[in-house]
Amino acid sequence: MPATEERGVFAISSQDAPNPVPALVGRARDGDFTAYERLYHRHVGGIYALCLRMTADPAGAEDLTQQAFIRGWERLDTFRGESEFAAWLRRIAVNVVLSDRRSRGRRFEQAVDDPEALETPQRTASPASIGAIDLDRAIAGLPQRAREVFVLHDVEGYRHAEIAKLLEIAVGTSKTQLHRARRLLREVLRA
Amino acid sequence: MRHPSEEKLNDCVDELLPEGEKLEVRRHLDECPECKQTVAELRELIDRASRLGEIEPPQDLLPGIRTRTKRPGFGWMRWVAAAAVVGFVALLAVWQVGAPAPEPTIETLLDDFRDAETQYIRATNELAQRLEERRADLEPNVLAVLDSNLAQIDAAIAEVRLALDPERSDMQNRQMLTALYDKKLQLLWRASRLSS
Repeated sequence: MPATEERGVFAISSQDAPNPVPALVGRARDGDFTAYERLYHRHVGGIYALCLRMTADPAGAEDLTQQAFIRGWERLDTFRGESEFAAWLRRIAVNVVLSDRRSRGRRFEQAVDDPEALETPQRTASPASIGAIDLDRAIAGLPQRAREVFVLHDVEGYRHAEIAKLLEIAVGTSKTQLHRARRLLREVLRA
Repeated sequence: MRHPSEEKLNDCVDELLPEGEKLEVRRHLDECPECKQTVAELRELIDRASRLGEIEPPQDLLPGIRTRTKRPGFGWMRWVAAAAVVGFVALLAVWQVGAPAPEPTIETLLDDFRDAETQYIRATNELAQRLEERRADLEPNVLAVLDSNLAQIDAAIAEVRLALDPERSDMQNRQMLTALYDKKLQLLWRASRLSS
């Protein structure tokens, strides 16, 4: 008898469901919070990493991760399954991070967009490999705008047109910030 | 030797250059170790960035999500009601395509239909009762729309039930009844989530 992932009437056989995410999403959409908790455990590492890389602020990233999952729960009705659930949730997280940054206002943005920021890495979390630690630390030290563009483009795979729309900047600015981020990172990683 | 700009080297790596310019940059790279090194570093950086992994948060964030999430609190009823609707649909399918062997009698099918209907009505009544208890949480304009829609669905259900022949399969009316039950279920469920 195959092992079951769930108990009770709605038991799902692990043999019948090699990818349980769609089933969990369906159940969560129907109000089953336990299913959503399981989705949380599957995706929290990816969402927290995204929030942390975008903000370089471990405490803030925790709060933003929570906000992303809360918003995901509230908007499950809008998830139609055309994309992967993980990608859908990551888009929500990106929007949460950016709207949070906007709500903090321009003063905050100018304060953290410091050209010297690379000299004072702020990263404290622990990725798996030494190489990843180096790169994550270097990303955390980038000026804010360059960091956001780099994370969206080179880590998350967004195109410049999408980034320009999300960040409310010109496509050319997105490219300039990306090139700046890459140059700063190469310098840091070479040192 | 005139070097390509930083922008051009990045665009070359990102495959954003038109064919002509791409060839021009590639020809330059064949002759220029400095630019070749820059491009190699860019490629390595992009590759490493695309392979960055997950990072677990230092603490479990779920308790905070639980307390800040509007939980419906009675999700099981949705399942019961959904099961009832599935029951209807399955029964209708059996009626429509012909029953598998051994062929159930019309009496058996009608009994099953009544059981499923009873289960459905129980679930929707409970949802409606919960909603009634939380009416104060809903905006007046939302309540007005909700009440009006519920009244229309209930009137339609009553009409179809009146027309339904209780002793025969009466596919058309049973299908219509199922669709109306489902509509009411969806509406109550959405409203219950708004008020929870």
